[in-house]
Amino acid sequence: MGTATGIIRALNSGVKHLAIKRFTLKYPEEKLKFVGDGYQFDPSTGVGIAGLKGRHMLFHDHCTGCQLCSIACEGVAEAIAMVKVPEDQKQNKKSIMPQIDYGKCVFCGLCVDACPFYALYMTNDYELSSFTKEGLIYTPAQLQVKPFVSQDSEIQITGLTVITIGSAIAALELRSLVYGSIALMGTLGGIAGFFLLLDAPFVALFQLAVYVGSIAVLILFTVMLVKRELIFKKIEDKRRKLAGIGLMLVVMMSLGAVFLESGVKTITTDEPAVDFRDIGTDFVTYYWPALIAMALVLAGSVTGALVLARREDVENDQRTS
Amino acid sequence: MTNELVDFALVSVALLGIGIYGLAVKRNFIRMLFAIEIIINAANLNLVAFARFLPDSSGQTLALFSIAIAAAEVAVGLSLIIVAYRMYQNVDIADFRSLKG
Repeated sequence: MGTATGIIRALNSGVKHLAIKRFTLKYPEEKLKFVGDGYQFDPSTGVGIAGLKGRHMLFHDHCTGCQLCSIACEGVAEAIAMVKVPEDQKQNKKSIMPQIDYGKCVFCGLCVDACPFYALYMTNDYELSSFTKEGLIYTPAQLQVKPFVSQDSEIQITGLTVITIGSAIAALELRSLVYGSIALMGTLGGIAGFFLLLDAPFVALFQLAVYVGSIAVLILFTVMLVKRELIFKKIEDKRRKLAGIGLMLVVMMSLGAVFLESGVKTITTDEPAVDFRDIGTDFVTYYWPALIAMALVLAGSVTGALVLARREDVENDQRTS
Repeated sequence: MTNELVDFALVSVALLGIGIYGLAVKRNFIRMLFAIEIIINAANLNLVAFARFLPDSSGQTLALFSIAIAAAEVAVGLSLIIVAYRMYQNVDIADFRSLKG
């Protein structure tokens, strides 16, 4: 009897675990995701900011070479040694900066608490393994580098995708044109979020200013000009709609298959993002004729829009008079 | 960059699909303009995404141009809508037939 119940309980437990999410990560492929930038300490208020205690980060322009971190480490791990800063790097008064031996460090964070100059923080980088003992000793120059740690950007991209595509569908399908144009704002803002994720803050701000700030509002005002019953009227026939959905699926599947099958799938980059100053340089050097042409097009289109909208006004006046 | 290029490309493909659907199905002038905007945004997203992974600044430059031109296009489109609306008192493109024999 005991054996039978044991088997049933074991099976039950196994079946239960089929349905729940696994607790472990497939480590090298999947990494831990952290909130925040790691453990920090604010000496003016004496409050620590919670975060992972990983590899340190040293801000060279704040470090004064006071050795307080090294003193804090004495009797704990003796991992911090003050070393001379090379001539060609940024100096401080004593021209010494901490060098940390991660073979000894116990990641207690006392050195961060000890630093009164906001110069030493801890980061989310926990992958410090090395083939040699020397590789574990991080010089001030190495400590200066901000580590590359995967943040929760995958969650961000999923959320943004849901917002963008959901509001794009809503913009087309909501009954009221007013709500539709507000949903369109959501799509445009979502795209701006994607630009931020792609390290293009300048384009993101431009998108927000031009699209969300002006175009969406312009559309909203135009919608307000339309008769009330037309705002809510839905004009489409069923067969056309089915054909449209079919067309959409064909486009999505074929293009999606092309993307998934092509080499695009394997492309990732570790290279730093493009500086937005480069864009400014591009604009005034290589692309200046295009910039001027664009300015003319914009001026022309605004004038054209004014003329188009106004001429009708005149005719209206003539018609009524 | 933890996100892969293909994620952004697929989002852009989805947006393009939605835009084409809107353009094909909707007969409301303003809705069609929405669809056009969505397609333009899909293209911009693709430009910036590929520019990030090359990495090259000209993709972002081109996206900025594209956004600016889209602004002009919307201004003209909306004024056309207003003109057409005044002439026909309707937003259904099937009713706009003055250029059609």
